[in-house]
Order: sequence, then structure tokens, then C-alpha cells
Amino acid sequence: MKPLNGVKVVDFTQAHAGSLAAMLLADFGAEVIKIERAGVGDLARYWAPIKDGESAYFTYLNRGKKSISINASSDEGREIIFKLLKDADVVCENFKYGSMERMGLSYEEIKKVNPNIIYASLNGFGQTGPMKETIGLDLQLQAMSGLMDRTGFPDGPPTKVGAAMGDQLSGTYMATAINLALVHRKKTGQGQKVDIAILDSLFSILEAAPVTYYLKGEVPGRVGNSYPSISPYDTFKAKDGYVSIGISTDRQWFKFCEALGMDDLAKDERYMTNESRGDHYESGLKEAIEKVTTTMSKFEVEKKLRDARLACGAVCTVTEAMESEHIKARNMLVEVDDKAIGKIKIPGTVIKMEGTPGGFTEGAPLLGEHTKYYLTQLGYSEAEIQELFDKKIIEMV
Amino acid sequence: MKILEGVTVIDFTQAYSGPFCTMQLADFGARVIKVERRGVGDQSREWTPFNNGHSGYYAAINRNKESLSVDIATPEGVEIIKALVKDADIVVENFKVGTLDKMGLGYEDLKKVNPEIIFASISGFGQYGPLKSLAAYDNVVQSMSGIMEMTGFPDSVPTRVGPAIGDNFTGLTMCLGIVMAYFNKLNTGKGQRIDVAMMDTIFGILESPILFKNLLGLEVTRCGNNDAATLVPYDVYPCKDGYFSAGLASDSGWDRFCNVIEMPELIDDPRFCTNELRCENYAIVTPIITEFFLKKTRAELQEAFSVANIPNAPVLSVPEIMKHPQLAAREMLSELEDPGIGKYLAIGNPMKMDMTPAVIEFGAPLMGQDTDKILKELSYSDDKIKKLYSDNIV
Repeated sequence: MKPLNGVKVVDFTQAHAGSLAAMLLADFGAEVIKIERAGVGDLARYWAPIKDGESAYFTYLNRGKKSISINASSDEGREIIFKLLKDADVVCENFKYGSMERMGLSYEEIKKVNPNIIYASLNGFGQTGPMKETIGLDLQLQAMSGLMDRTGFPDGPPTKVGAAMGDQLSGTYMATAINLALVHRKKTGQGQKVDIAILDSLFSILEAAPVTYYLKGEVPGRVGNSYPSISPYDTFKAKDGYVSIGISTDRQWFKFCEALGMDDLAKDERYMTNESRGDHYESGLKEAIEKVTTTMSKFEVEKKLRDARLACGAVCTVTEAMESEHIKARNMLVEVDDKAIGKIKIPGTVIKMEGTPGGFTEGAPLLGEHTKYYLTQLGYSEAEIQELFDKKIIEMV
Repeated sequence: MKILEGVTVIDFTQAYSGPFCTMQLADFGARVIKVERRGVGDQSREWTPFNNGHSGYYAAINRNKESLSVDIATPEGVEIIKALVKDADIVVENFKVGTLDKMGLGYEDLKKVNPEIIFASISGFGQYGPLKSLAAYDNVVQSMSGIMEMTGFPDSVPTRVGPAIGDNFTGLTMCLGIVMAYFNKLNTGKGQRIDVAMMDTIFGILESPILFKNLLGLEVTRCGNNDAATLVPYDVYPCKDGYFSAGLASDSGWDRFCNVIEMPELIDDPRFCTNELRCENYAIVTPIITEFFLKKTRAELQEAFSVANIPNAPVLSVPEIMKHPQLAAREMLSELEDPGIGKYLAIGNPMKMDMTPAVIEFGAPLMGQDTDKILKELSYSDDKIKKLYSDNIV
């Protein structure tokens, strides 16, 4: 039993963010019916990494979903979609602003056949505001949101986050909002419209920077890997890489010196308090710590500090993280046998629910894999389905 | 009408991850009762910036909540919590693994009081697995998950994502878990336990390098602000008054790009005429392109690239984005009177719902400001309350 069993989602999303939201719903039991353009399909079907023409990115984002391939701009195609929408609970889309309306699939149109539908839209800038029609790629949204300005070193350029942060975050907001809307509908019977913007989402995670600007009239510059009010809190060079450390009390400082055999630093008057360590950090302390950490491997430093119960972590490559025992124990890489690319391990389900666990056992659908199944369910006869196929209204596997 | 009206959350969380999670619930109408350690309170009350002696950091993530100050390490304190949990729907905590169990307030204890309770735990590494008892700062999680390795420039050091995404993104992910569990409770009557780890959350967003490794055996690493292996130009360029991002989303458009940067001679340059060649010659083409950017301001660049229909955006500072008309139109900033720091601009909730919008009603609670009211609701007599105060329980 999964929490969203019985929830039916007609899913027009493609590419990343919206598709990720629908993936989260599918992981937790929703029936996600992906509507794909006949002949082309989701853009993510062409995203690297690709092997033998098939994308693993698509597998990851679309595991456990169903696919109907249909020409939505034809009358017959639209008829099928409206039949599907009639008893759906949720519609998701992440097209450019206005596209759904042009296809005759606006909230108002769909409400006519299903007044209690939950209609969720996601795009770069949202459904309102002067920039609603602008196309924003992840790089542009990171640039505008302030996130890039906060990431990187004081003497270096603003820096992009090395993951599709805007897509991941906004997709998670969208899945959350859809669930809130499901709760509301359960209680009142009412559906509603949900509107998520990647820009809003990124702006919401800038930590204390906005309130600092309001209260102080300025925002301190980016700080690289350190943190101005805690010292030492930084990433240090090791023999074979880097290791991050956070020492927040004087007691931890002495344990830290002991664990790494830095007796001279423990005795040094300049480093006795958090404040004085901060004052002397750039002018000598950082260098003194690195003199020691560079004589050891990153995992050696990690072990010594962990044994002393201090907060630390080696900077892992993604491969190292993938191979860690902890990631295995948490089931964060799950093998699926995907019909297109075969067996592959993809990122697992983050939210661990004891009573109603999420997860997935299947890979992504082939383009149009479930067309016939759903048309039959809607009452189309074998002959009618064949005719739609011959007229290129639908595609089947 | 608020979605979570009538839902009570007993909130043990502190610092950033947990409060960010319960703020979402409060924004949509849940009654969030923040349990703060008597005499100390949430540690973020000590975090900069300050105004009138109160923390702006704390204010920004604890709006719409109530504060109960109680010493939960005493039997009387435990009794108060259990009385509260009896009629609550959700408990959220972000202590080190096992802390509440030791106090007699773990899931098993609270389930006896309220079998349908939803019990949500946020932690660095989760409730099980070999690293479960490790302390985690955001920088530790960012290091171990691989995101630092993936962020920054190839010829420089791994770089931490500035804001603590290990905290805020994990908090949001837990919020999703809680709302799903609550939906399930409406359908089945059953509560349950939820476990979300910072490490899992951040590892989980590294799909691209994970898939490259698993499908093709390739190890990819950080590539700064570009994507030079697959798309050129797609980068952030220094310009006259800062930095500017511009790029082509596919192979086509190079001619338009060259015209915008007033270098039509590059269109048919045999070194650069296809995306593949430009990827190969990234180090040669980039300084040439940059020449143009250095001569222009962000506003001039935005105009020129937008007219040519090429995706672009200025790199904005936090003050600049706060003044942007798009955010104003989206109601992403609204004035709020906070009992501690006074009037300030609170960040709006990004989940825009037309029937049941998020409501930012009141500021973050002063330490223990709702203690009296809550105890009275639990039918504690005035005398008993007085005694709890004099015994330093509340």
C-alpha cells in the first residue's frame, strides 16, 4: 500500500522539473499517465547519457509511469485526452506559458469536464508577472535567483551549482503542492490550480541573505567554503583531495588539535577562542591546518576526526559516494530492468516512509507502451484503435 | 480556507532544516507548536543578522509558529509533551538519532499516547545505516554526497553551494513526506514514521553524474559555469558591470549569436561553425566571445540577446533580485511585523495555490510566548502552571 494509490495523474510534463514532480508522485503510488507527442515523445528521451540511442536520464525521471503517445492537436486525439481527464485527479504540465491553452487544455477547459481537477503548472517564471513568457534554462534561473551570487569564492566568479538545482527543487515544491491540494480536495471536494516557478523556488532557499539585506542594507559577499562566524569551518587540502571540517566550540578545537597531532596549535594563544581563531584564520591558521592535513589522505583525516566525534567529511567524488556503505544501506541506488536500456542503477527514493514506503520496480515506459491499454479501458474497440493508429492519431508499441 | 487548518504539529526542530520544513506546514494553516528548550531555545536564535537583539535568521524561518518553552528532560516536561501529542497529528524532530528515545519521547513512546501520530525525523544520515549517529553540518553533507566535487571550476577547488541546501532542500523533502503521510492518514486513519536524511537528499539530486557512471562507466566532474562537453556557447561571461549568462540550448542559433556579439566573421569560421567544433575549441572561442561582453553592461546584453531570442540572464545579487518586478508580481516578498526583529520583508511561499493560498499571518514567536496559553488549553490550573514556572520546568 502506497499513500497515493488510487490517485490518477494525467501528466503532460516533459524534460526535467515537472517530470520529476510526477516521478515523486509515481514513486508513492499514483497512476501517472504520461501523454507524449506522437513520433517524438518527451525531450528527455534524447538526453545524455545515451546508449544505443536510449537515454538513462529518461529512465530515471520516468520510472514507473505509463506512456500514451498521441497527436493532441487532432480532434480525435483531443477527444481521447478529455475522456482520460474526466476521471483524473491531477493534471501536471511544464510547458512554456500559454501552450496548454493553445492546445485547448487550459484549466478552464478541463474544469468543464472535471470541475474538481487539480491542475498544476510549473515553468521558469510562473503563470504571472512580466517575465511569465520568458524561457529560462537552469543556468539562467540560477543566475537571476541570487543562488550563483552566493556560491563561489570572494575572489572568483559567481558559481553555478553542479546539479540541476532549479529543476529538482521546483519539482519537489510542485509534488508537495499537489499533495496539499489532494488533502484539500479530500476534505472539501474542491480542486484548484497550482502554479510553481523555478525562480521563486530558488529564491526561497537563499538562507539569511534576504533578511540580512533588509536589516543591514547590505549582504556580505560569497565566502567560498568557509563560514565567517565559525572558525575553523572550511574545506582543507589533503594529500589526495579535500576534507571538510566544522569546529564550533573551543572544546572541539582542542579535540581537533589532539586528533590531528597539532599540539603547537592547541597551545597557541592566538587560537584559544572562536573569535580569535576567526581573526587569525586567513592570516595563518588555515595554512597551519593544511600543513598537517596535506600529509594525510582525505579518508585518514576523516577517520581521525570521526573517532574524536567531530563533524567532518571527505570531499567525495560521486563515484566514491555511490560506493559508500551508507548509500547502499539506505537503498539510494536501485536497480531497475528498463525496457529500453536494460539493467541500470538509478537514484532511489529519498523519503523513507515506514507504513507506506515509496519506491519503484519498473523502469520508464516505451513511447506509447500503454496507448492500447488505456484506449481499451476508455471503451475504444479493437477496430477503432486500429483506425486511430492508421490515421497517425496514436502510436502504440 | 487554509488546507491544514485544524492540523496540529508538535515541532521539536531547531536550526535550519526542520524549521524550514515546519514553516511550509504553518504557511498552509497547520498549528505549529515549537517546543524550545527552557532557558536556551532554538540555537538559531543566536544566529546573525540581529535587530533589537533578536535574530533575523530565526525570524525568517519560524513565522506563523507558536513557542512553548519547556524542559523536556524532566518528568513534568515529558508529561506536558505527551498531553500535547495526544491531540496532535504530526511530530517533527531533527535531533541526533535516538535523542528523543532517551527522553522517553521517541516514536514508540508517543505511539502509545497517540497511535495515529505521524512522526517525522530529519537527520544528517538517517535513522539507520552505518553513519546514522554521525553529527552533520551542511558542509559535511555537501562534501560526502558529491555535490561539492561537482560544483566549481575544473582548475580550482571543489566548492560548497553557498546557501545550506543540505538543510533547506531536506526540510522541503520531509514536508512532502509529511503531507503524503497526512493524506494517507485521512484515507486510512493510520499514522506512521518518516525518515529523511540530508545525505540521501543531496546525493539524490546528482542524477547526471550517477547515470553517466552507471550507464557508460564515465566519471564526470565539475565544469564551472559552462557545459563545454555538450554545448558551446553556454556560459557565464564577465561583463562591464558584473557577470552575464547566455547560451544556445541546441546546435542551431550560432549565426544569431555571432550577430549579437557583432562578430559575423565567426559564423563561418572553420574552427567554430558547428557545436561539435566549438566544444573542441572551447578554450579558443571563449576569450574571443568574452571581448564583446566586457564592453557591455548587463542591461545592454539582456536587450541584445533577448531581441535575438537567445536564452540569457544577468547574474543578480540578492539585493537586485529582491527588487525585481517579477518577484514583486509573484508576491515573493511581503512586509511582516515580527515581535522580535520588527518590520521586515518575509519571503513568500513558492507554492502558489489559487483556492487555498499560503498565508503569512504573524512573525516568529518570542521564546516561550505561548507557554501559558498552551498549558491552559491542556487544562493545567493556574496554581499548577505557577509551580511549573517556579520549578524551572517551563
